[in-house]
Amino acid sequence: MTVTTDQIRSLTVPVESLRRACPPLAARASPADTLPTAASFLSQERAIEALRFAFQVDRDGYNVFVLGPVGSHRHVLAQELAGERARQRGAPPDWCYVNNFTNPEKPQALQLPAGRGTGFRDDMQKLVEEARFAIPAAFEEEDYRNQLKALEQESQQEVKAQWESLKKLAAADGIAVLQTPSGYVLAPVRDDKVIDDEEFDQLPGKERKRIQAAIKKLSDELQSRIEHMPALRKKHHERLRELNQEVTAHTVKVLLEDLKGKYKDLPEILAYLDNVQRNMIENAKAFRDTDGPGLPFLAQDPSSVFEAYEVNLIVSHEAEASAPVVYEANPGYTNLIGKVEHRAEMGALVTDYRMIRAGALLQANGGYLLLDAHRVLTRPFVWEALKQCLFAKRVQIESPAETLGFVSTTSLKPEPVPLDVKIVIVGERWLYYLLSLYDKEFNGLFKIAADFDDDVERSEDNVEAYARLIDHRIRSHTLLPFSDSAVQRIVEERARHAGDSERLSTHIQSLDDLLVQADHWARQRQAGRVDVDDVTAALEGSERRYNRVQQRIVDAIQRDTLLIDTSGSCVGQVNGLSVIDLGNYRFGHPVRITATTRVGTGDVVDIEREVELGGAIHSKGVMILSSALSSRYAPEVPLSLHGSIVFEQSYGGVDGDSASVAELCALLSSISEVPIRQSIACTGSINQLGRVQAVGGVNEKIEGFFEICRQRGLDGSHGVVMPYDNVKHLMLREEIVDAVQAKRFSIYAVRHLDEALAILTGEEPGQRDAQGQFPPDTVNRNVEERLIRYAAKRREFAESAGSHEKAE
Amino acid sequence: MKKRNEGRRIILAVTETSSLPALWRAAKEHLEHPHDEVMTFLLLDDRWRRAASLPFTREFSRISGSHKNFTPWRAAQIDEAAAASLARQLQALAAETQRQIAFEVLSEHNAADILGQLSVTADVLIVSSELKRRPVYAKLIELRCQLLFVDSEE
Repeated sequence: MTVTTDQIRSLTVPVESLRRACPPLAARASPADTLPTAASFLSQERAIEALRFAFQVDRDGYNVFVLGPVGSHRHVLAQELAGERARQRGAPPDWCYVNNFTNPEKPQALQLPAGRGTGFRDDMQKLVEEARFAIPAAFEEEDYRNQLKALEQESQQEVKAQWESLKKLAAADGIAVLQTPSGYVLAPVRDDKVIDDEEFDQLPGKERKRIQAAIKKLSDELQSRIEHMPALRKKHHERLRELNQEVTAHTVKVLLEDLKGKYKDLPEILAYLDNVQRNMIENAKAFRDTDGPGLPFLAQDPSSVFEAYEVNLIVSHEAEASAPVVYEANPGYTNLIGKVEHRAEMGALVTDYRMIRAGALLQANGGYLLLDAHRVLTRPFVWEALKQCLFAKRVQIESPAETLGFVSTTSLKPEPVPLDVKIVIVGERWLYYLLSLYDKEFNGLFKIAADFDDDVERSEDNVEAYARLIDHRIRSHTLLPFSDSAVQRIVEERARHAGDSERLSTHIQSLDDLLVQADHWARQRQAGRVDVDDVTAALEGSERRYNRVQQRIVDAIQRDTLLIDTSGSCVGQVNGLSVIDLGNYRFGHPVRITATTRVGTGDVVDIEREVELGGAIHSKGVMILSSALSSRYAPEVPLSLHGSIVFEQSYGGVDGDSASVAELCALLSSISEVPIRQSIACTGSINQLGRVQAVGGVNEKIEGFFEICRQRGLDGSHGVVMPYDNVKHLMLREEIVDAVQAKRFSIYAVRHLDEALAILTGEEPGQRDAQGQFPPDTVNRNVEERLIRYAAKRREFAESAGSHEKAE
Repeated sequence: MKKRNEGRRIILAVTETSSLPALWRAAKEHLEHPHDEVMTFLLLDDRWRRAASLPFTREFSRISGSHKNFTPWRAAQIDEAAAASLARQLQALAAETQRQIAFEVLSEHNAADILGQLSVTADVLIVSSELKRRPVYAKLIELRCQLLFVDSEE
């Protein structure tokens, strides 16, 4: 029983449903109109509300993870909303590192009100410059010279007195104290002349003994005085140091007076200035030795003393600025946390507090920091370091090696800086869900998820809003004006991008790409505005750039390398439709699905699965169709069938269940031996009750089969069977719409397996009557009868095998 | 007697502890012509030799107070070091002033005779004031040339 024209007509998708055209636009935005950034994100209310909420709640853990597809301008919106909030908050404090005079390895962190950091740094620099002149000048003063002279004279007098008294003591015994270049010699004298051995021998024995005894006594005294000399020198140095400190102290006090007055409202700075004062006094000598750098091999350059008072301003803000909003595009460890740089000196790496550098966390401290999830997670140590900072609410600048204890060399351990920052991580959904699932600390630190929608409902209002968004993007990229028809064409394309005639894609990047490329083609033809042809040229150009793989497949089909029939009929063979997704481009193409059947034990073999080329969902689809087959056609007999299904010439993986209707039809054709029309391709998934369900990529699939048929010549027999539930997704190319309009191509929307069978076989499949029987000479009747025969044969075979076993 | 056009002859008499710059400053005031002659004599008494001849003399280190025997070798070393040091200073001075400066070491006991003979042709004899305390002083003041004592003790 063939299918009637009425039946076919009832399943044919009307032309107007193949592509939902954009209606004329009521009002376009004038060039003067401006659109707030947040408003330019259509239907992202959920994400906008989440972001605003997170930015308003100043509590721990209210950091945000912005979920959404790449290119949806999540950064722009997050930055705009963070900026909105930042403008209400005001600038956070400036931060600087200064020398820790008591423990230079632990530099001190100082905070100043916003805008005062630069001034403080300059003040300290000026102070050092003044001190370098003022302190030496103080030591050139007449008063100091007089005091120094008096001190030196006093010390010399003490030394001289020591020697004079010794000389006097010695002279009393007739002994002279002679000075050699390196020491002293005690020698007996007579008439101011040293006695030699001959004269000594001529002396009376008593005198000789006296002289020797006197020299021995004086030797002890001489030794004692020599030993006392260092103490005298030390005493002199001590008094000299005290004098120098007194002079320095006075000078430094005068120098610091103004500074202390200027920073009297900042106790931390005052305490630091006190330390500076003490240290300058202790290092008075360095200020006096201003002869320039020392010898190159000296470990420490004398001028380095002055560097110890420099201020390393690591974070500074304008006083009237708003809270910072920082986007760190390269969130490596050092870029995020900060680092301590080193410089090479005499073959060694050295550092000091002036080489501490702030990372993005400190730059954004008191404000908002935007990071890319993928980059944060793929840069070594960054994710753990970020969480550590958020937990500790402070930033400790140290290298990862130090954090992990891998280095034992002495380095700086800067004082941690308190952290108060709102982190906004932008990433794809799967990253959010993985983190949420596997990182137990994640949900506590990122309590807010701002989820970006991929598309927006294509309501009348939204279409108008979308047109305004397009105009806004046109202006922001300084493009040529777009005609109404061009904008309408773009709106239609955005529905196509969403894969749904009732929705519009919110993927801003691809929208921008289309606008820019259309603008290019308009400029190429030296037009003053972009028209619909330019949009079409942009779309076609983009397709040409990406469709090499598609073209190769089409060529292979046309050259019969890939076997696809588009005419005639064949038992157990159907044209399925497959989609290949290349990331930024996807296309459909037909695949030949074949099925074979024989008597068996009730199993339907999915060859793709057997060779591990089929994915789990595909296997699920085959199992469902197997179940649908047995429940529909052999409810009362054992399914005594062995069937096998395969995607012919498919050498890559196959997944998804969108071919399950086609697979079941091929199987039923094989069982019933009713041929399937090769001019029709089929897509759709099926459930156990025979209901045809929606699938993805329906537009690409139809276009893929249409292209093959078009190249071979459309004769009106060609068409595609698709799920009825996918009709709303249709946004087909105008070329196909025209072909359908001209009745050279057909698209059928089916709800049930029988409808698909009817189109594919051209036969009425038949419905069970009141007695539960399918009408004779129908596809379904043939299938049922064949399955009953299979069951009988199997029983006979089993009985025959049993009697053989008994006889044996 | 020397003729007026032969140039002046200045004699410096110094000890090992004299400050040569002070004596040279005094000498410069008497130098008039590039051909003026400068002769320097280091007058060494033999106190180091004499002290070293005694078996019990020790030299005490100025730094530590430690001591060791004061030997004749050490005595000679001190005299040689003093002469060498003065020679170096004079060499530098000669190079600086582009003058010939003669240098001799004299023992104090024959210094008076030699200086006495030289003083006949000398214009000025500049003597380190330390020598006032030495026996040679008595003979120096009897010389007929212009005698100038300069306080040059360090």
